[in-house]
Amino acid sequence: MIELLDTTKSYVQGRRTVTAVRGVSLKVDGGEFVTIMGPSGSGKSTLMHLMGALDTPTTGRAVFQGRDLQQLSDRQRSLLRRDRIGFVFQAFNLLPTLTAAENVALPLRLGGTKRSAAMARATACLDLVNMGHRAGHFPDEMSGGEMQRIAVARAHVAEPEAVLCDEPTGNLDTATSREILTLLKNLPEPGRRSVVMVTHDQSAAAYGTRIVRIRDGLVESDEPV
Amino acid sequence: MLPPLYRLLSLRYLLHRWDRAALIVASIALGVATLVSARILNQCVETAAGETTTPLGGADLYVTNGEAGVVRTLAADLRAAKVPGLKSVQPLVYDRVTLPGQDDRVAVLIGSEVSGQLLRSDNDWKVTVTPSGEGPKFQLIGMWAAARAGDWDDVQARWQRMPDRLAVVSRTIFEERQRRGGAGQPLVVKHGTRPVSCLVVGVIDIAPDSPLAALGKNFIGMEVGQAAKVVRPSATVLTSAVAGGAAEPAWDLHFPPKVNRLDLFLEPGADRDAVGRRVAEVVGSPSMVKTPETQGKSTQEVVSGLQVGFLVCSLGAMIVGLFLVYNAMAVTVAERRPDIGVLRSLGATRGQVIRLFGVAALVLGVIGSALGVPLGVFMAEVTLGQFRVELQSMFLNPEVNPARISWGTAALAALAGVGTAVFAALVPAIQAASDDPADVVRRTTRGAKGWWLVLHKATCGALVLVGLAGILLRDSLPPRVGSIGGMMSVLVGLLLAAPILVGVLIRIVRPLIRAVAGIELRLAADNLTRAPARTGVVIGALGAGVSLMFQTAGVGRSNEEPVVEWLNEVVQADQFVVNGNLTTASSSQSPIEENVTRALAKLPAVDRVMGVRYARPEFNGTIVYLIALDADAFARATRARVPAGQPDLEKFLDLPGTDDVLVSDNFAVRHKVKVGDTVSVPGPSGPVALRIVGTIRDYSWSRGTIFMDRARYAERFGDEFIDIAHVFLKPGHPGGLDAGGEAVKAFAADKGLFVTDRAALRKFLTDLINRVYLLAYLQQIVVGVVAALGVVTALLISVLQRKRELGLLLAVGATPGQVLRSVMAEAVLMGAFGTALGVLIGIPLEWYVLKVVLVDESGFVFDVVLPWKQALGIAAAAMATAAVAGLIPALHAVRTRIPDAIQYE
Repeated sequence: MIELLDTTKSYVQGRRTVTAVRGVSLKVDGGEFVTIMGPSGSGKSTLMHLMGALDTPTTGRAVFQGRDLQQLSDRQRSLLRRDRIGFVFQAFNLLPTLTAAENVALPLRLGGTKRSAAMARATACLDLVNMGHRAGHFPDEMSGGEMQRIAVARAHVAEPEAVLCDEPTGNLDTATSREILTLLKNLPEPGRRSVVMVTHDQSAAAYGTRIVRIRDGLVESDEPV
Repeated sequence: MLPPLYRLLSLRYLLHRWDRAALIVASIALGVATLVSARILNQCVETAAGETTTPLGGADLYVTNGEAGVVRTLAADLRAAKVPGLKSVQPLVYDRVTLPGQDDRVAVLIGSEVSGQLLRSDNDWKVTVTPSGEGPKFQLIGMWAAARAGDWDDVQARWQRMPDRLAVVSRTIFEERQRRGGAGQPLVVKHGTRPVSCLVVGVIDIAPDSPLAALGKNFIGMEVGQAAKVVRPSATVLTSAVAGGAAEPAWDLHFPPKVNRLDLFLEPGADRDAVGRRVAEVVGSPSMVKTPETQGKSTQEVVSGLQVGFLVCSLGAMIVGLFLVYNAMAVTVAERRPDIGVLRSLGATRGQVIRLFGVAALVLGVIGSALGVPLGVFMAEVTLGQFRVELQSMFLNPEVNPARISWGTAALAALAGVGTAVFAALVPAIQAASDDPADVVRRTTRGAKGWWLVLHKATCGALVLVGLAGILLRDSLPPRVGSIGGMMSVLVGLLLAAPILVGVLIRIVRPLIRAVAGIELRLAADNLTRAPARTGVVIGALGAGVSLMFQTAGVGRSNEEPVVEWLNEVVQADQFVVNGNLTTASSSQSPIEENVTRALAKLPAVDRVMGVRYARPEFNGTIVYLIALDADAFARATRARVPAGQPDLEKFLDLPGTDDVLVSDNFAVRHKVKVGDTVSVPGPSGPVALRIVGTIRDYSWSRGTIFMDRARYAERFGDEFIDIAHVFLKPGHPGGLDAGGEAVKAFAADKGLFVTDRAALRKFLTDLINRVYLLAYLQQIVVGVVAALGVVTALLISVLQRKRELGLLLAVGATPGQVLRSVMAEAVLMGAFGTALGVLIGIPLEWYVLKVVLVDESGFVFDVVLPWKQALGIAAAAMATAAVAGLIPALHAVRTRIPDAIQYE
């Protein structure tokens, strides 16, 4: 489903060039829940960005369902993210001016789905994460856990083939983290949808089916849980 | 209707950040308002000038001879010539009169052929005349009957046979007359000092789309021959005494009845050029055949300078507004980078991101424009209110209505407001959309990329170079394109380059601040260094306001001394007698019969009297002043009072009895003439050649002034009126000057004239000059207000961007006062840099305006005087503005919750 082939990623930081990923090859199949672990600055988030078509490799290839992401235009990559990839971030990244339901419906609205249909689907997704009762609330009226539930619902709303999570429990307490991880654990569908989660929390990693450890931009280990 | 997605994302955000949206709206509204007010003022001046040059326009061709007028018999000659394609010829007389029975209300006397223009139901002027029921009823019965029967020749003949002058008046005048109990009484109209009685036989109602509509309230219509006799000088006492009952015919020989112009109407499909050539052959010299386009060209040349001034000010405000809206939008984009990251990660395309900000700008532009249009109308009202009296005296029609805003102006203003907002939003939106999604998600974007910086520098350089090229090549370009367009281009280039200039300035002063300033100021300076792009635009806008005000103050200071000195030299008489008020004294709209000067001179207390007549002939494609004065009296009386100075004064003694003239220095510069040259101006019998025998310092008129002896002028131009009499009292008169002044006042009161003394006249003229500068300052204050709004925006953004840093300061023990001072210090620094930049640009700008623009426009040459005292005031105002603008963001900063602030990314 998602494949990185001898991928490197470098970028300029000030006057120096930083290579965050150094020739990584990695494959994620449908139904997998892959956890990427590593210390700060190891390149795990960059790896996730490459998988999620947020970024393109400096060398090597990133392939999503057989499509070389480097060969796609910016617009094609945008449409791919909109329709086939969902994201969950550490900082929730909800738009503060939209209600919970509107935030969840946003990917569908961006794709041109009519408001009523998008909101109906968003409401259903909110129910899945037990947030139906908060549909009309704004992010600043919610707790961190509630906001992350909304973010999970948003990642799920377009029925994507991949859900990529960057430190989804980094800002949450233990109990709430468990609830979120349970939600994420239920997302993979064999042969159809995979979940990739970046974390440095060992207990969170245990929710996955496979752990990839990264250090200094290289894959240190790749083992099933 | 906006697409629902953009409504959801853009409008919701605008409501969320309503304070910033309000600042952007205010910036746009002020920019639009200055544009609207400038357009209205321009239209107002243009309409008034057009109505003065060609009142009751609408003919296909005109036969004119400037102010000298054309002989009425030419109309008969043209009709007799049966020029192919020429349908009709209508002689026209127009001039200002006053109505003593209605508090000296000003009205416009129109003389036309009654049959052709007024009484026909299908008349070209779209007016309806209703019999008033007054006048010689028995004799009028036949005339009205002939009118009903459509026998216009009979109407004309009967009208002219009437023993009295008959008039039709606008309904307003008629009703006011009735209200005052004047019904059935003769209506007295006064031209100059001469009252003329007429009988009101009709009331005129004017259709809204009539060419007379603007004169609607103040219209007095007469038969053309009778009107011509009202506006020409009356027979002198001497003529009447010598000629007795034959005085009128004798006067007709001296002053053959003239009309202001002949209106020519063509057959449908007639060749206008061919008809014009044939008409020119018939009328011969000195009359000229003009098209409607050429008729107002000279007047347009005069008012275009004023119009360009208004336009430049409004464009200045719009440009400053544009940069500030850009700044605010850039900051909005910066603030929404996380949102952009979210949207991009959710699959929003670059186009969608750009449209998102475009829609927000569109909404703000629409709201700003909607507010700016009525604000502009209000500003035009206020501005015009400052000069209403002067404008009323300058133009034929006393109704100067500023509130007329055309659909075109409203549409242009709305387009400018919306366009400015959208254009300003597009650059940051495109920049934001071009960021890599991963960078946006990581929040590691680092502002503009390399090619944007190159584009920025290239644009600044190109604007400055194009402007300089325009200035250097201005003589080869259309008027003002090089001089003013070039200046604007350089200023915009410098404004655009403000972030670069500010970066340089900050680098220069930062070591000093680090060495001597406290922590608050140092943090503020560091913050400015970190974000020259954000603050540079605002500092540039402040600098633009300061430089314009500095330049205006400098030009004012440079003019003030020589102009006041000149005024004090030439305004030497003790008393000044005018008809109407001081503003009409130099307009030739309220003349006085010449014999008043002789009568004044006979008063025991009076030493000398100098009559002055102002004429405005066309010369060299513009309108110049021709001041006819009693040269001998002026020179001797002034010399008696100013023994030293005025080295050119004696030149006036050579003028009487000759066609020799003096010209002002600016006339010589502007029209490139010198002593010994001959200039020709239109006269009643053809061009009058005048030989220049000297140049003198004079600041009366920006297009130049010609001085000639009044007696010779009256002879050459057939105009014996005066506009003002300068009365020099005898210093040794028993009872002193006060008693002499009282005698003059008593004389004037008896004649219905107005008297003022030297001090009052000087004050009036000085106040007038000051009000011109006040107007300029007012326009620049708008620029300053827009810039102040920019300071608020920039600092709000600064506080937002420094939220974490400020929170950290609070967390480690900084007091709210220290944080407040740090933000305020940033504001004051911005004010200081803006002021420094403004003065740096203002000095060369003042030099340029004085030595290039003013010389090109008027020929006036002044030394550059730097307005240091005013500069201190302007600097204090700019710093105070910036400090006040910084107060809101500073309070915002200290109210930040520390936990929120230190978590803020």
